[in-house]
Amino acid sequence: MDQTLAWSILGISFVLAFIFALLPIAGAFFFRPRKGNLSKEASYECGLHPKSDPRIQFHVQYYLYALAFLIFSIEILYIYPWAVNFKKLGSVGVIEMFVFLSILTVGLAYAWKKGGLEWS
Amino acid sequence: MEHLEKIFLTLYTMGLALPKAILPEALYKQLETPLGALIGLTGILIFAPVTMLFLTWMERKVVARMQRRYGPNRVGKFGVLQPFADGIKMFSKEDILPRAVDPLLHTLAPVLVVVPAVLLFTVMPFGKEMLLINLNVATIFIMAISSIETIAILMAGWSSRNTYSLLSALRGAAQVVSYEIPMGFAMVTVIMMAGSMSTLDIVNAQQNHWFIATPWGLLGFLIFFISGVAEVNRAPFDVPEAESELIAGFHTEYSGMKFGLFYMAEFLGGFAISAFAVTFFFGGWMGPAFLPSWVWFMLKTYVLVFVLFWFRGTLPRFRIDHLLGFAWKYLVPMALLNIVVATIWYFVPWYIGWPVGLALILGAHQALTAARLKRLYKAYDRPRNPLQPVVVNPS
Amino acid sequence: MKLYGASVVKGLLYTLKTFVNTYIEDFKRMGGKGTSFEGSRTVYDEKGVCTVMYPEQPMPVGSTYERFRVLPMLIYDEQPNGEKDVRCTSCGICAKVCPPQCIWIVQETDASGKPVPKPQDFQIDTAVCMNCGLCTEFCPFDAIKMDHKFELTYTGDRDGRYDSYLYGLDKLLQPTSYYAATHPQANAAEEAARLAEAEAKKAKEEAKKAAAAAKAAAAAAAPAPDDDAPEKSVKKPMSDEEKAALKEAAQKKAAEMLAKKQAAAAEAASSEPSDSQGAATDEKPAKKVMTPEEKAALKEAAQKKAAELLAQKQAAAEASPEAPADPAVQDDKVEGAV
Repeated sequence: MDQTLAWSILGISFVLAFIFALLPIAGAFFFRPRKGNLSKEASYECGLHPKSDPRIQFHVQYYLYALAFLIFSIEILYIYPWAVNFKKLGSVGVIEMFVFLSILTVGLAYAWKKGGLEWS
Repeated sequence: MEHLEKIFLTLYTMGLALPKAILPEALYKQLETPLGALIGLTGILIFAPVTMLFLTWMERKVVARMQRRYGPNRVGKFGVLQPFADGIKMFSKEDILPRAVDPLLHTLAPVLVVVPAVLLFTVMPFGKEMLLINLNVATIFIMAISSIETIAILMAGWSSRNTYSLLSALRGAAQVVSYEIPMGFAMVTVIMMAGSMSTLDIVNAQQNHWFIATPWGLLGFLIFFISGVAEVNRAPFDVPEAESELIAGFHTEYSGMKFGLFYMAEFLGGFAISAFAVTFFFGGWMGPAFLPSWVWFMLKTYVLVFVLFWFRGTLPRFRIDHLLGFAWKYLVPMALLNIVVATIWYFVPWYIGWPVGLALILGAHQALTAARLKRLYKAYDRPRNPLQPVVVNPS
Repeated sequence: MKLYGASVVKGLLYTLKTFVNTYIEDFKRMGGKGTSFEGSRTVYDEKGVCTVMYPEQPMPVGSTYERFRVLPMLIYDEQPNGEKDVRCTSCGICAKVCPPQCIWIVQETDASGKPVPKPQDFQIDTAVCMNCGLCTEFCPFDAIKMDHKFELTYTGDRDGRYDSYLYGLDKLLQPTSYYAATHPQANAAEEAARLAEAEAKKAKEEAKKAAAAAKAAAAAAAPAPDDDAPEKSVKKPMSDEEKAALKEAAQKKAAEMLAKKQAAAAEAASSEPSDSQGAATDEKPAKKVMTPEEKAALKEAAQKKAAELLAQKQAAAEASPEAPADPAVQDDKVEGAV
């Protein structure tokens, strides 16, 4: 299959999928009742009135996981081309990739040892 | 059997018959592929909601039976019409837009959560010659598309301006992001052996034996499936919508059809994960010829979907730190090891590959779990005096 | 060596077994009479699905789960001539102990406007009632009991909703036979207690007659007694007689411990007015239910009953420790009433 064609079809699918997802909302727009009132449109807080803005500072651990994700995600993208050509590259490619993987493993072990993966 | 195998292809050509009759020869030649794609896409867009309706019914039935209940059995025979009743209910429900929310993001989030779930179906090989788009980077596409869901969840949680929603969105983001790593690594082994990232080539590479029949395939499947379950926020990894802690998570402020879309995305995601696990490890639509290929694909997928519901009926929910720890401290090292196992498997004959691979996997499994679980067991297995009443407040 | 994570598989296998078992059980009973594949179950304690199809197959509450309680009912005795003899005397104890205060009572009056110990109107707001059953615990006449009817849905129009939850006498009254059918054990115990009480009362009346005769004889012997003497002379033999009566009753009631408690308490409450009648006061203040003094006395009796229930074991052994306690209570009551 021609890849340019494939991506253009994918573009069309994206638009159609978007319309597909919008349709029920738009359809429900004509059927749904509209009876809003003050307490119904309040933020849900288990029956209490929300006291402060919920957009709070959150735990620093989320950032640490995000950082770890960034590193590993990019490394996966590095591995993919190698994986496609794995059978062609032979033992040289394997040794090279194992060096890369061992560096990766050391990085993971370092993050682990430093408590970067610990929820504290 | 032949016409059963070709039933969807016949439908496809029938769909193309009308433009072929109307349009001039030259124009038709140019438009044939896009029009065909449009027909295939229509098929997918019909298939997706039907699947979702069936899955909601199936989940309720399966989980109910595991809990010794009947589940829905009032609407229609065995309650098969229950999803339609639910759909009508959601369609006619009021769509409440709380005053505090950001209206644009709030409306866009459910749409954005469905779009990637539907797009995943475009690279899914349903059967022989039943793949809509043969993308040469399909695996990367799957990873990229499914992480759009993170953005949608964050949008929903942030725009709701609700404490529960925001907390759940952050949890969801951390979880999806964390489980993407082992999922990607699990796919690496499949790509290595298939020599291609296209889903069609991966299925064709399993002509001789399914990938599940190898040590790396077994481990890869487990990692892929577990990560996939976490990716679509299903039990036992449904921390973002943990109803016992966070009301309904990121869709607390959603009602009516918008909520329905979140629901739909969850089920479509579950189906997609099972389908891709089948594609990568269970030989896709391969199977004995007495059944059409698409039936084989559906059968295998529904078995895995059942496993998904089975998990939900069995396992309790993870705690968020255990959940992320499981991803980073168990699945990622195991996935790295899996690449090593796959490499060994490629260079040695199978009768050496199996024991060595299995020994490596089991050894790593024990080493990675022993230290953590021993501590847990010690904490839970403390001897207790059963006659002593539990003193909640000694004072 | 332990394989970690194996317990997850074990758990999965367990749920799978349950899942398969429900289908096996359903297929097994498919051939049964009048059953479909789903919803054929009426017994719930076997393998397989344990759902009972509720509206079609209601679970019998009655004799199986006797202590199940939803909303109070008022008991009336069916007279042979078809009249309803409502046990309630509209004393108002239930209304007083009711924690959410959902009981209203209006006492009936006869033609001359004199209050009669019957309820003219008895209303319970079932929207407020919390089914605690305190009213039945405190009722000295076994007149109010907890019912079994749990299907309380109102399906009428919107305006009549709250009125429908206000139960009057028409909805609350139930015959004794109904109570006997729904609460066989409790009813049997109460019947036994009532019988024993009647026996005790009979014995006491005989003793009273004998005492009156003795008193008359004493009056004939000593024509000029002072005011205090008769009361004491009445009381002393009275307590002895009561002791004897109680002992007799205890022998009869030995089988039913709870019944005995009730009888003893009821006796303490009911014997007292008849004692005071003979001594000084007329009938009216004693019988009039809503007098505060009377209420206090009843409350005391109720409290005593509760205390007795706590000290069951000691009191069960012999009736004699109770008897000395009785005159003391009577003393207080007599003074209060007078």
